[in-house]
Amino acid sequence: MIPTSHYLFLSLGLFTIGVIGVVTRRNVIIILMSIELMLNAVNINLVAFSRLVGSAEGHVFAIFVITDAAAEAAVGLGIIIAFFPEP
Amino acid sequence: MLDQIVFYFFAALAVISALLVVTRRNVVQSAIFLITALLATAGIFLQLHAEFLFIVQVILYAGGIMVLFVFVIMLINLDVSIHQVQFNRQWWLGLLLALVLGAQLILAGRPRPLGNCRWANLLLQRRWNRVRNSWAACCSTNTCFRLRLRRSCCLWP
Repeated sequence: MIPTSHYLFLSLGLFTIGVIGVVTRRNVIIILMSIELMLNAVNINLVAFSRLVGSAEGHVFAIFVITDAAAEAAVGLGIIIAFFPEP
Repeated sequence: MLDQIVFYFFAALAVISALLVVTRRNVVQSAIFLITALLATAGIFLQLHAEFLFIVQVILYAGGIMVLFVFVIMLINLDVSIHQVQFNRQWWLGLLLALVLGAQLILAGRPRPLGNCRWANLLLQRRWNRVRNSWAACCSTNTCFRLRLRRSCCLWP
């Protein structure tokens, strides 16, 4: 049985790496990838707390977050394609 | 025992591949390592007994969103973007933000001791919370945008 704090530290590490990526990179695609990393860290947090509490509400929220990430990736990549300067 | 081995293996895999996502110059390598990070997260979901989320993560993230990313990388001009500057000169800001965020999250999770004088402690806590929140908000949004506007850096690859 792994304590919940280890999941939280893993999630903290992933989220912080995502923040560093968003701030320091200049490539838009990698900025979007870092946002995906941050959303994943949030998902780990939600599922870990859901197991700690013993209910399935965290899983439902994680599914919402995954749906949101999919929609955000689709719209963001569409915007990138639409505004990319033609060679 | 097996549980712990599985968890630490997937956690190390996720953190290492996330670091590689942020630090690689080539976009395609970043995408490959992002797939690895997402699959490691799926393994952690499986270890947490969230089997449906495991399947959703593999199908939707590693199968759907990453295909979208790779298609966009293929569609826009890859040869041009490799020869351009990939990093800002804001690594110090990123490091500072990461340190502040990590310290905040660690401090927020720690139970605070209440001494003899309960009201003074509460007041101190409230004031400290306000200072912390305002400084974090200022640091995270305002400074970042101001620096970006001032340097007027082009965000395109």
